[in-house]
Amino acid sequence: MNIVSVTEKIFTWFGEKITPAFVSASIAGAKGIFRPIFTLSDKKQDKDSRSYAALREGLTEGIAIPVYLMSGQIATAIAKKKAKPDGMSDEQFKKIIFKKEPYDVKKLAGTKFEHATTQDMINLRNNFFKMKGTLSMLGVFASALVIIPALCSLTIKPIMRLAKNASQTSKKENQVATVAPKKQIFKGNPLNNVYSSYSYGMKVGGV
Amino acid sequence: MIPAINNFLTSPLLVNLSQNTAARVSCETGMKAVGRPAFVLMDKDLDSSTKKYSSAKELLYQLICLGVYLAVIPTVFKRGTFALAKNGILKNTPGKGVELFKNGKQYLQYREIANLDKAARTRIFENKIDVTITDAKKKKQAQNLLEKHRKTLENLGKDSKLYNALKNEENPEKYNLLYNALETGSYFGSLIGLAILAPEISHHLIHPIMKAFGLEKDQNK
Repeated sequence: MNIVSVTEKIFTWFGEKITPAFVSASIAGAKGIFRPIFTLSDKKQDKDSRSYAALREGLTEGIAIPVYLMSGQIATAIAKKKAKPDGMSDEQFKKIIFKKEPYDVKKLAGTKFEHATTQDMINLRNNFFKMKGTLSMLGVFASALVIIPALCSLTIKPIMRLAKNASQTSKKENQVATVAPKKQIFKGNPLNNVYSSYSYGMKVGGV
Repeated sequence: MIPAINNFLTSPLLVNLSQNTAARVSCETGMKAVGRPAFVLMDKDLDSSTKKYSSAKELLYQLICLGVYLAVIPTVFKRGTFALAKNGILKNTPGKGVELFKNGKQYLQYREIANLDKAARTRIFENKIDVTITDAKKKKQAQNLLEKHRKTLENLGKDSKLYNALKNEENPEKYNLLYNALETGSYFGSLIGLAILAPEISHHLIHPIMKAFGLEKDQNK
C-alpha cells in the first residue's frame, strides 16, 4: 500500500463518512479538552474563578457532544422517512441508498416501481444523502442555538453546586486534619509495645 | 406539503451549505454567539452585572472564534490542502481531476454546477432562468446565480473537458477525491482553529476589550 492509496482512503473517509453532526461533536470534544486548559492557565484570574470557568466550559462541551451525535441520528431517521417513496419496503430502500453501485432495476419487476430507471435509483440515493446532510446540519444549528444552551442552563447549576460542595467539604476536612490533636506518642517502655513482645523477651523454641 | 418540505431539504442552497464544512461551522459559531449569551441573559438566578459580564464574555469569545475561523480555514487549510494534493500527494495520479483545476475555489464552483440536474444545467448553457419562477425577488436571485455560473463556465473555457462534461453528460464526473481532500483540510483546520488557536487568541483579546467597554470593572465591583 503506497502513500497515494493511504491518503485517498483518509480523504474518502473524512469526505464521505463524517456527517455535520460528527464534525460538530468532535470539535466540541477538542474544545472540551483545550478550552479548560487555556482557562486554567489564565493567570489574570483568581484560582477559584479559573476552576469554576474551566469546569463550566468543560461541562458545556461535554453536554454538546451527545446532543450533536443524537441530532445526527435523528436526521438520518427523518431522511429515511422523507426520501422513501410511498409503497417501497424498508429493505428495498436500504439496498438502494446504501449500495455504492446503482440498484438493479430488474429487481423491482412486479412492484409499483417496475418502470423505474437506473437514473431514478441514482436520484433516489442522491436525494436521501442530500436530505440527510441538510437535516443533520439543521439539527446542529438548532442544537447550537437553543438545545445546548438550554440544557447547559438546566444542568450546569446543580452540577456546579455539587462540585462547590465537594470542594468545600474537602477543604473543611483538610482544615480539621490540620487542627486535629496530635496522636499520642508512646512514651513508655518500648519493650511493652506489640512489636517488642515478639522481638524481645523469652523465646520459645530459640528462633 | 410533503413535496414542499422535500424540495426545501434538497434545495441547492442548503445542500451546498451542508456539504461545505467551513461555511457550516461558521454558521454554527454564529448561532452559538446568539444562543449562549441569550440564555445567560435569561438566567433569573444571576444578578444583572454578572449576567452582563458573562454574556458579553461569551459573545466576544464566539465572535473571536468566528473571526479566527474565517481567517484561517479558507486561506490556510483549504488552499493548503489543495496545493498539497495538486503539487504533492496526487501529482502523478491522472484521472483524479487534480490537473484540471487551478485551485480549490474553481473546483467547488464546478462541483456546484455538476450537482444540478440536467435541465438546470441546460438552462445555464442557454442563459435562461427557470420560467416557473414568478416572484420578482426570487427571479433576481436566480439571475444572479445564473451569472455566477456563467462566469464559472467562462473560466473553465469552452473547449475544456469540464465544460463539455457539464454541457452534455447526464451525470458529469464530480471528482469526489478533490472534494474529500478539501473537506479533510477543513475538518482538521476546524479542530485546530476552534480548539487551539481561538482560545489562545481570545485569551489575549478578551480582557482588554472587556476593560475598554467597562465590563471588567463591573465584575471587580
